[in-house]
Amino acid sequence: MSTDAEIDKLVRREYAAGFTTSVESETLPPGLDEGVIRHISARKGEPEWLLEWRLEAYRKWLTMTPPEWAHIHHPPIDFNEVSYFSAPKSMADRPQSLDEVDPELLRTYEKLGIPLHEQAALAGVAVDAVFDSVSIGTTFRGKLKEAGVIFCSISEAVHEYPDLIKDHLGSVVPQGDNFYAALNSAVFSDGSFVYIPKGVKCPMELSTYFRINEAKTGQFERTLIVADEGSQVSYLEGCTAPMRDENQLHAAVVELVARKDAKIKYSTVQNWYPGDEEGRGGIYNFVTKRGVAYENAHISWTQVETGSAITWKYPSVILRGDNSVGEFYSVALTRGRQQADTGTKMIHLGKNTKSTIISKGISAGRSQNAYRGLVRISPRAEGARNFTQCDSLLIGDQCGAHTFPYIESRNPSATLEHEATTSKVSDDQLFLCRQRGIDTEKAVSMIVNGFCKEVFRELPMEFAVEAGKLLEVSLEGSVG
Amino acid sequence: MLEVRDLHAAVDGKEILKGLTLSVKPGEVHAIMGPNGSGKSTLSNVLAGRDGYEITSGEVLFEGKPVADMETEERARAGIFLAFQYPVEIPGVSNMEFLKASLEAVRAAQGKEPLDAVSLLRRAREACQQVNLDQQFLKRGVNEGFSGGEKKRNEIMQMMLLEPKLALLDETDSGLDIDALQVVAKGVNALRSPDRAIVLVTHYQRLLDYIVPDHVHVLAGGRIIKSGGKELALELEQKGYGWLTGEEESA
Amino acid sequence: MTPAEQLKDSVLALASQAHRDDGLTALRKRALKQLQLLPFPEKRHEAWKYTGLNALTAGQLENAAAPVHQSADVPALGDCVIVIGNGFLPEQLPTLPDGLSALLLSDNEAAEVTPDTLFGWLNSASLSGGLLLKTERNRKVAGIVHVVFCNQSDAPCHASNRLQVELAEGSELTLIEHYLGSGPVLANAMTRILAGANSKLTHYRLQSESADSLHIGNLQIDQQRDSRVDSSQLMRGNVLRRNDVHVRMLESGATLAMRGVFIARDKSHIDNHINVEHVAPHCHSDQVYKGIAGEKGRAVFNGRIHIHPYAKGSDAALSNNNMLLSNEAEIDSKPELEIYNDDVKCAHGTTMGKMDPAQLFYLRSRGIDEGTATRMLGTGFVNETLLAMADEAVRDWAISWLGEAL
Repeated sequence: MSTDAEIDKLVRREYAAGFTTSVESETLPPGLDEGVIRHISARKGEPEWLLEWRLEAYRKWLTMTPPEWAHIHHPPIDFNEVSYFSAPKSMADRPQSLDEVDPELLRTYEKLGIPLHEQAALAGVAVDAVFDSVSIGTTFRGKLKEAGVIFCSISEAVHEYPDLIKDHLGSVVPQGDNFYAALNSAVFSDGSFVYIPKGVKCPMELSTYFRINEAKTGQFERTLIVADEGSQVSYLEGCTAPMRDENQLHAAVVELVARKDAKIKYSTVQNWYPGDEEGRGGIYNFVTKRGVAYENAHISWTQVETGSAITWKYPSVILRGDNSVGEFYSVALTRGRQQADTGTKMIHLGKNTKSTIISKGISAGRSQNAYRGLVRISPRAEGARNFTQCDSLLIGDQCGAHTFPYIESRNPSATLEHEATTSKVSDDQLFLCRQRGIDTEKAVSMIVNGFCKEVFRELPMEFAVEAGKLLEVSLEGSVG
Repeated sequence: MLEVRDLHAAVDGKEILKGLTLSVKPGEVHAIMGPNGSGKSTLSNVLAGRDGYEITSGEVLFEGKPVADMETEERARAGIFLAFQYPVEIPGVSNMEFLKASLEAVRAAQGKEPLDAVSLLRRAREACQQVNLDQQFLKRGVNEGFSGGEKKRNEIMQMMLLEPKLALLDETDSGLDIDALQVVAKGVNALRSPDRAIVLVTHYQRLLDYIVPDHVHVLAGGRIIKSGGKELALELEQKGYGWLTGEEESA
Repeated sequence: MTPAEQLKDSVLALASQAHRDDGLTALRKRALKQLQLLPFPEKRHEAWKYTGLNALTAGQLENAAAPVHQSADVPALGDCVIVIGNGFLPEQLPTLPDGLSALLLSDNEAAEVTPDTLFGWLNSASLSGGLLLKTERNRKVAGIVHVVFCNQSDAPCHASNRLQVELAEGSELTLIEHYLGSGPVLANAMTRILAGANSKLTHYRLQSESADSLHIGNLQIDQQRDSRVDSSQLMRGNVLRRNDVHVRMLESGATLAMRGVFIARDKSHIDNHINVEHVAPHCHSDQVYKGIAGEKGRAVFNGRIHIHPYAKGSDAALSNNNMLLSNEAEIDSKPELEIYNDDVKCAHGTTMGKMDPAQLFYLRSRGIDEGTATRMLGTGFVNETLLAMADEAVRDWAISWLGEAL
């Protein structure tokens, strides 16, 4: 049997997180107008200023058009076909603790490998679980509180810490930043809020797990992390959704604020439902993620993207303060008919700012995988430095790998280096492995893991293994 | 150990081996020599089971069993080792990681326990030492950025660890300077044993000054046209292949 | 009406003005149709993201340039010189070397062009005459053919420059296309090269108009099986300079070597958009572009390598190295890889930096003044590229001409 045929045999592995949870939900009928936004806001008991903020965003959105520059293709999205709010009924009376939460919901997370009961939970990781449009609970809150760390859903934060929210919401990604960010600003439902006080090193990993369950529902979460002067935090998000034939929209916004000397490490393991082999269904993942780094601050984005029918995201860092550092480490794997257009933006404003971009794209099946990244050096960014490396690995001859870097320099003292290569898992490499007794599956996984090594070592340890496994599973279903 | 009977093999539909017969017993060292394009590399690739190398007729028996239906890795696990003419680079996969995977697979097939990390590392270091390869090479990507000679020594190092029953060395001597050749030869000679067979495929007689074969075969036009003892190699050196093939030698 | 819509109107006015019955009627008609469909380029279009067309006035789009008679000083680079003033062909062509013929471009001969920009269509739509050079099969054309496009005007106007080169199978040619002139004229250049099977072209594209001129050019090259194209593109900045170079490797075994040097000083603007398409298997392309921007200069480089699904065994490399000399200069680089086949070897690399202060210091410590030292290092930076050019006369001229800009 030829290598190709053997690899082919491994195709069509099921999407493990594809089950649905049957809970009674209260879901708004599809469609978007000011009434819907008022309803969402009222439902969450929001203050007047936030409703106004949402409406302002909505009005901006109405004047905008979806971006067309990305290397992705999809039929136009009818934004009136989407439902903008869905919550399990049991969450309506706001359970005060995880013990009061519907056991069916807790089982969902257990099934996904995220037990929410603290005794069973992964030690050292606090989790906020977001189900469709609402947060169902956050673990280890007490322990975090001792350290002065705030970790809760953003809806709670609006009530409990209104000043922090008012100061920071939209301060990094303004309402009208782009089409999808404007939509999110108008209708965002829930998400996580993190505040690390001055000089505090967050005692545990923080994590949010996003789950879309309800059909025809969009998820529009909003995450805000504020690391005050000299503080440190490591945050991880995970995402899954059931298998459904129609495409579902996910348009999130993440804002990071790293004050002087602060350090934020933000990791994502994205495994939204990618659609089937023929490209039916799957999540449209249009996400805006951006951080501002003040003096000496350090923001690091690490992402492992294996899911979604379409991924459109560019986690960015605005290097505002002198000596600030921005990093972007990414593995994006596409297979089947998946499309990814992902990368980063590093905007160098301060002196001696430094950014590093390591992007690894793996394309298999009939997928299209594009890196798109901007490095901009402003005139006053004396001594700024950037290093970019984008490598693409192709598996099979029906996929595409693309690289679109934008490099803009307006300061002669800046040094920029960009390198990109494209290679494939070659027959010669597989033959060498097999001649040494290593079977094809193991050989491909070794080669791919080797290819991604520089990124995996940036992930928190608990998740690095997970990410490697995820990639293995994803590849098993796609190589050929 | 290895019986090749009237082997015909094709690459991309083109017949390269045209009735090759060869018998190799345990403990023996065979040298297969021949001019460019005679089918030397095809023979090693067919024996190792490379995709695209098709046996069209005849048979190959390894320890009495036909290998035609065995996958590449099954043959490797059964004890056939091919030292590549052009060892391929695998960036990002460290030599050590590669050796571990390979040894585990081969040992498991032989019913042996996997080596623990400490003994594995110790053995790998010893093997490196024997072929004058710095231990740093264990941490580097498989053949990544290695010089030609280093790649060849890396092949021999793996052979020492895997302890195959049948070692096929495909032009392992090509492109080596004399010092490196001696190192490689020392490694191969160390592996000579009564229950192991070694087949050297080579273009140059020079190798046989350092590894003295029991049998020498001349391969031309896809079959063995002359066999003899080690003296045949010397005769070839003096008279060239044209002596046997009747053609002008271009190389 | 937005400024872009107004300029589009000027474009259409020029095109309809150009209508007349002659050998190019059909070509102009076809192009006019396309022009009507296309929007006028704006910054929101990805291909014009870094190049605004503010320098362009209605006059440069509405008014066709008049024939000129006095010819500018042409450096002696070629063995056979053809001078074309404001796009008008001379009445008498010089004697051509054996194996080469020159003709007036006509509807029958004009090769299909699908320009990447509106200006490419405008070139056809407003064309008064084009030069067609053809080689004979299996002939090597002796010497260097020097085609000079001299565009000169005191008032804003538009000049369509058109050159088509056809290399028959097995032929060889060395060609310079050279742009000269001054004044507020927009040189709208379209060069179409068809490299036949097993042919070999050594090509120089020199753009040395004075700083007040404008130049928007298209260079389109199609390569047949086993053809070899070696193309050097050298330019200094002016008010507006934009080049769209598009190479299609249509059959297997074709080889392309392209190199370029662009120097934007003072307030000049240079934008090079390069697109190399590997359509067929086993083609090899290698590109090296070097850019320098000083004072308020702006240099843009967009280099795309596109590997088509069936182009297995493609080998493509692109490197773009840039040097910024001042705080007010800007360089934007966008190298792109678009790859649809897994059996390929592709790489691109970009660097941006300044002159190495250690090198500068070293030279100065040996008594060399800063100006000279800067020039020496700048020359060193681009020389590597210039020295790869095959013809000595062009090389020497280029080194001194580009040296003046450093």
